[in-house]
Amino acid sequence: MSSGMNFSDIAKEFREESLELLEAMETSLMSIRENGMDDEMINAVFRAAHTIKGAAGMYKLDFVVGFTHIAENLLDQVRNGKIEMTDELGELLLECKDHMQNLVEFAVATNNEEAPTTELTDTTARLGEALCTTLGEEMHHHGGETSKAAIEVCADKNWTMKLSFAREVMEQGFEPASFLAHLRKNSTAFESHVDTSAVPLMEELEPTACYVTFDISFTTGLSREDILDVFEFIRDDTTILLSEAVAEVKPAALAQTANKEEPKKISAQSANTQVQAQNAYTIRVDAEKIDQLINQIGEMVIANANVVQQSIDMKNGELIESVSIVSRMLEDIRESAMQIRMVQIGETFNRFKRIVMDLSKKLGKDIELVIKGAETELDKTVTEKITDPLVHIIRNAIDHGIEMPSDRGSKSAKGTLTLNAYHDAGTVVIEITDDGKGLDDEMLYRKAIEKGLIEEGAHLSQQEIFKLILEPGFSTAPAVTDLSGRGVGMDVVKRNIEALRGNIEIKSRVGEGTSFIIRLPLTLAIIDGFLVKVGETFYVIPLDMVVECIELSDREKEEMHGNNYINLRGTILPLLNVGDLFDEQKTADARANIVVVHYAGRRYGFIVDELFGEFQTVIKPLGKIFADLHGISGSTILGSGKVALILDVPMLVSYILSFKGGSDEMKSA
Amino acid sequence: MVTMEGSTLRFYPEGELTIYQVEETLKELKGFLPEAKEVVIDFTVTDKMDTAGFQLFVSLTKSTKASGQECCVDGVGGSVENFMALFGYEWDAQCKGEL
Repeated sequence: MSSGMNFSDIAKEFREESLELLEAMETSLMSIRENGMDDEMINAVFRAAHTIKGAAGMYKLDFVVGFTHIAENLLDQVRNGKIEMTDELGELLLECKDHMQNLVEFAVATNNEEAPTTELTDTTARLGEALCTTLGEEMHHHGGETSKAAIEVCADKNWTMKLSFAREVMEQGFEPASFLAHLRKNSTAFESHVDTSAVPLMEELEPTACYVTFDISFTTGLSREDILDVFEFIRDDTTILLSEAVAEVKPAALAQTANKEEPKKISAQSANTQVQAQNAYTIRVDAEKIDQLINQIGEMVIANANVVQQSIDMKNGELIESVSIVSRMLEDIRESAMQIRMVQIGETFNRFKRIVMDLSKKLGKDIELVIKGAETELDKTVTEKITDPLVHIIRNAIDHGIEMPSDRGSKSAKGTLTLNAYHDAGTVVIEITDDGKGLDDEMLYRKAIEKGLIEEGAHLSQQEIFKLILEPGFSTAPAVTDLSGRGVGMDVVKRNIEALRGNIEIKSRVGEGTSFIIRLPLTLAIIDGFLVKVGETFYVIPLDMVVECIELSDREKEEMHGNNYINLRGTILPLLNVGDLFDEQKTADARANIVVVHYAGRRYGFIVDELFGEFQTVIKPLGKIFADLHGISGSTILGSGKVALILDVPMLVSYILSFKGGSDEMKSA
Repeated sequence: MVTMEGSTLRFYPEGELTIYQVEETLKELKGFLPEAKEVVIDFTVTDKMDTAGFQLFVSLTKSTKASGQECCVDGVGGSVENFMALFGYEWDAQCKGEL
């Protein structure tokens, strides 16, 4: 096996780019499957295969190139309408996509220093044969029996090309003859005819202008994309009329160019469109660089808070004004930097289409995946970390939630799995809802006793019973399948979501279905906070969750009669005294204020002493020593250098709800 | 590279006839051409030709034809021959006859 000289240097980048392309390939194939053949989609699939092959070729990943080349040939025929795209072919191509991914992963893992495993070469041979059967071509093993993976397909085609360079092509440093020479080198037959009719008399001759045009006939195994790639750097200003003969013709039969399709003009205009489309694409930046930028901005925010504090202390009006301008600009920079990290959750949702298709087919179920709110944006880090938990939930919903078509009774035989995402009060909510059999709380309760998770007679609310399925070792599946039912997964789901400072809620009705509602913070780095003080300690509440602030009058205090709620404009507002919770020392003259927060569709009040208002908060994790400290999600540094603690609102809300009867009071409110 | 022998203009690019030589050569040719009755081109000592050089050659043959001068190619080396083959250039019958 030959090794790319610098493959190890670019292996990571190659892997990321390939996986991104393969993901795009899968998305497009799934879209074709759902919505029928689409030129744009099949071109995207072809481009992905072509680009991977090109990149793999650069680093001599022969086994990737060999396999991808066959797939590319087939895709070329599909997009030209010569081979019909069927569901079976779609599935074969999806399998090929998976195999390409395995080959890429193998090449990266071994630094392209090892020959592919027998399993990989067998799969290459199997899928290669299936592709070639579809292509109607014979597969040739390259390099004899020892290298089954290196497959070459003899797919030479005849092409004709009318080529007209821009007048200034030579001034730009390009030599027209070199393009012809390159084409000739990659052709088994090549015949050109130069048209010199535009070359002027010597009086008018511009020595560096290009006047000649060409008619070329050639036979090559290069694909259309490969041929056009030869002219990649001059495509904007070059007119290329490229047409392909339909039948495979031996080199000697070059002249027999009957049955030609209409020439496909790659005009300057269409080439420009392509270039613009490419320019609108993204720039790949190492995530670490963005993290570094955001950390630096975070430090700037902290340093700026110090400057603000000092300007206030100095009571210099002009300085305060200037500092406030800088602060605003800094806030804009922070917003822009955070925006870089934001990605649409639809990209993640689209990956699940394949999972739903494969699993439902495997289990003999008919399931439709409905995606809503795909445009909802979420921090890239959060998106990456939430993918695995979502996969677990979806697998469980398909495996255990949605019934077999024959067991769905009066419901439609086709099950529905809905993924929905939306923003709510500084959080992102992801709902995974199935219309399956729902959770049987009595059965869950019995099972939990059997498993020793709860004691017999324990009083649990329905929500608490549902949440038992998130406990380690809890599995209700009568038979363990290879999809789910091993009791590992759902507890990991819970742990992963909590590690993201999120939480999970379960709603279910027997016979109607189940919803998993996941709430996640929008970002993990910097937030707009609301600064308050309780006793001697500063606390920050995420500003997006703050609805209003009210002063707790003496009369209202009396009316509370020691209860943990007040009547706020006719509605019961559950309260949490932050000072009591964290054992803060009470100051005699402290006024009680209530910060009303909105979370999960309900309102709650936090009793604090002083209000300081909006504060840009750079979230710093608490040390390991505080790992068991509940109700605090992190810390931040104030302009004065003091530390403020960030309140973990979801955790505090669940604490409020855990008060005796609290949950019921919420419902009545 | 460009000389006048009586009324014959002899054009025999030595070494390269590429974009880097064409401008200068064009000036020389334009200077001599009006006096010439006959143009003889010899590519046997030409090691390299590019599109600019090729166009100069085509332009020269066209100019001589337009002004009724005789033009012929006296010899072609391997490099120019290859270049002409790449372009699929069909030698002018008038010049070809002299080869």
